[in-house]
Amino acid sequence: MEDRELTAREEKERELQIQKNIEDRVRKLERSNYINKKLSSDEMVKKIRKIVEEEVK
Amino acid sequence: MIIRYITLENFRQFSGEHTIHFSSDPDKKATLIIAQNGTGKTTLLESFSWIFYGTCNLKSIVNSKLKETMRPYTDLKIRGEVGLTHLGKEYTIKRYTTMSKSNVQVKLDDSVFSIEMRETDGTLKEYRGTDARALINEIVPKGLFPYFFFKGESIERIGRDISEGKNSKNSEFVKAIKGMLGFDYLYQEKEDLLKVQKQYDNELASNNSDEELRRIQQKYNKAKEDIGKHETELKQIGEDLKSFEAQKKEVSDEILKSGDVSEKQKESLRLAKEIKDIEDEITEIKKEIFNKFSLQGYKLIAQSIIVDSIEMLQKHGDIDKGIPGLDAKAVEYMLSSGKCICGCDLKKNPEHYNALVELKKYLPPNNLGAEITAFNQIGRIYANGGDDYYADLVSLRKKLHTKTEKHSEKVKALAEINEIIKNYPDMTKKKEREQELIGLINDRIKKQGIAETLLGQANDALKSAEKEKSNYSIVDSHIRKLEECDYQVTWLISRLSNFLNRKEREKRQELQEAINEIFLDIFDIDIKIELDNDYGIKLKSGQNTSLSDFENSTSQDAIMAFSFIGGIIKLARNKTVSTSGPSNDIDSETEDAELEVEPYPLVMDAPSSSFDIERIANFCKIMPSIAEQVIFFIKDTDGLYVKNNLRNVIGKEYVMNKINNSETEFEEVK
Repeated sequence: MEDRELTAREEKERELQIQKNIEDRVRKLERSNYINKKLSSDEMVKKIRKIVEEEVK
Repeated sequence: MIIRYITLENFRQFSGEHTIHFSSDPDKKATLIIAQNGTGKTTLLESFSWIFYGTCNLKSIVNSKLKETMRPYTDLKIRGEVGLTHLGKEYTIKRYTTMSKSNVQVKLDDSVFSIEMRETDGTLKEYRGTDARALINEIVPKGLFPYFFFKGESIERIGRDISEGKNSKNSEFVKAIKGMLGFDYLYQEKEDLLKVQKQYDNELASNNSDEELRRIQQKYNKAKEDIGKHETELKQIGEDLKSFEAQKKEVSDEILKSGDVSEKQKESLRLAKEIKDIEDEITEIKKEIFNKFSLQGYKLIAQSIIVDSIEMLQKHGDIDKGIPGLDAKAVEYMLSSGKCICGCDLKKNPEHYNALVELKKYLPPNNLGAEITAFNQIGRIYANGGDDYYADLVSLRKKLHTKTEKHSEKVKALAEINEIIKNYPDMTKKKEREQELIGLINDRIKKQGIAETLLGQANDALKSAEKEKSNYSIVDSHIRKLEECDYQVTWLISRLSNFLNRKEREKRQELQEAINEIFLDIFDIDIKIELDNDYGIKLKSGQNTSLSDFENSTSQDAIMAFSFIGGIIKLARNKTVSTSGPSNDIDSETEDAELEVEPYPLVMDAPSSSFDIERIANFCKIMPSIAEQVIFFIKDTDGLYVKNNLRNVIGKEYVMNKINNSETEFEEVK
């Protein structure tokens, strides 16, 4: 029972970590591009997908 | 955003190159440009629109004198440039077009737009085309341009538009207001995330994973089930075969060991059958003897009597003189009738009569001659029949004897054979059992072949399903990952949307409060406005002012416009972008961001024309306190009054001098 609770908690923590990592990286990318205007929207979409897929694994 | 300068070259009445520097000193934030009507104040304002967006509300940007005087087949450049500072970076906004004259006709090329951005470290970056257009819309949203750069003559129309809620229908305006939240990058992030989400949704929609997986799993399960079934079947067949073969071996060995016993057993059976047949034949012969005795036995018994009787009758000679079949009565009838059956009249022929009387003596009942004759004939037949019967009986007896002897022989032979084989089982049954077992073994071998084929097919199906499963698991894990990615993106979009919606509400509330504050401060009007979700306005009367008085006021549209513009400017000042690192908490991020303030200018053409003296004073007092930079184009007649009211904040002052209809010059006064 305790093991199961521990696993569920770990799973939740893992999910929160993924969400945090994605949000941080996407936010940083968007802010950076807002200032530097280097990437087009299509390029941004590709980069965001890459971030999400890297974090989700 | 602070405007540092504007340069115009051959733009309408500004022939040649003219540059006006605007004050960017926070303590002397006002720049006054004073001019008579018709000198080019509106053209100057519209030139900003042309430089920024390539469009303006001027019939033409061409200088009529230059157009007329330029020589055929020559070019002339019309150019505008605005230098501004935005978010700590210096921008140079440039647009030019080329006017070319063929013979008498003059044409304008499409304008060329570019922006140069100087980073804080001094590096220069140039934007062109779409990037440049997107950038200018971030710096000065087109939807808000009429509020930052507005003409006095259109102030009443702007006021009316605001009152009538036309802004709410203007998505550019709403977009621009949203842009002032300072979260452009978050809106962009949301937009990008929505595109990513759409891609994931499309990819997921094109992979009907569950159905495909179900199909493969069904195929796999069926193959597994078939394998189990065929294996069980084969196991049973194997066991049957083993058992039948063992039984067959046992039986065959037994048959082999029994040597010729089986033949003897066969002989025994054959003899038994033969005996039975003989017994049947004996029974039949006996039956025939009895039957014949019943029918003809008397012939033999009576034979000697008949023979003796015939001999005796022969000794009496005449006994049989009568006519067979004729009796005495018939003769008497002929005698009495006097007529013979031959037609002879007996009366006339007495010899015939007498012959008949003589005959009568030998006829029954008077005489047995005829009967004796008949007896003689039949008796002989019977006497002969007795011989035949006897011969027949003798033959049957002989046959019976033969059969009986044969029966005895066979019974004896059978007894001898049975004595030999009495200790052996019945090998015939064993052989039958052997044949039966061979049949069962063959049947099982056939079934084994079929089951092995089916098992092979099921194994192939399983391998195929496993391969599909393996291939699919790659696809499936890809789909699961897509779902997880889609979930994460959706979650982030939802979080952003909630945050931006809340911030928009707060900003709308802020704008509403700013407008109401200006209402009260500048115009001393106790009218409250309420902004709906689309920035539509609803007026509510305060304690000291009636709504109908305000609505009937001649300057109500101007008041509305200035208040709204003031509110927007005040709001725009707080447009910020945090350059701090990313945070997982959007709220804390905005708190950091709001510490920084981005100034915005207010460029007004003839702002005071709609107001009375008191309101001009209030306007000149309040507007510089709202905007970080004010640039007023003032009509010369209002100039002195406005100058007096702005005297403490004027940093730059120009006078526009009209040389002629196609030529205006700027004179820097301060």
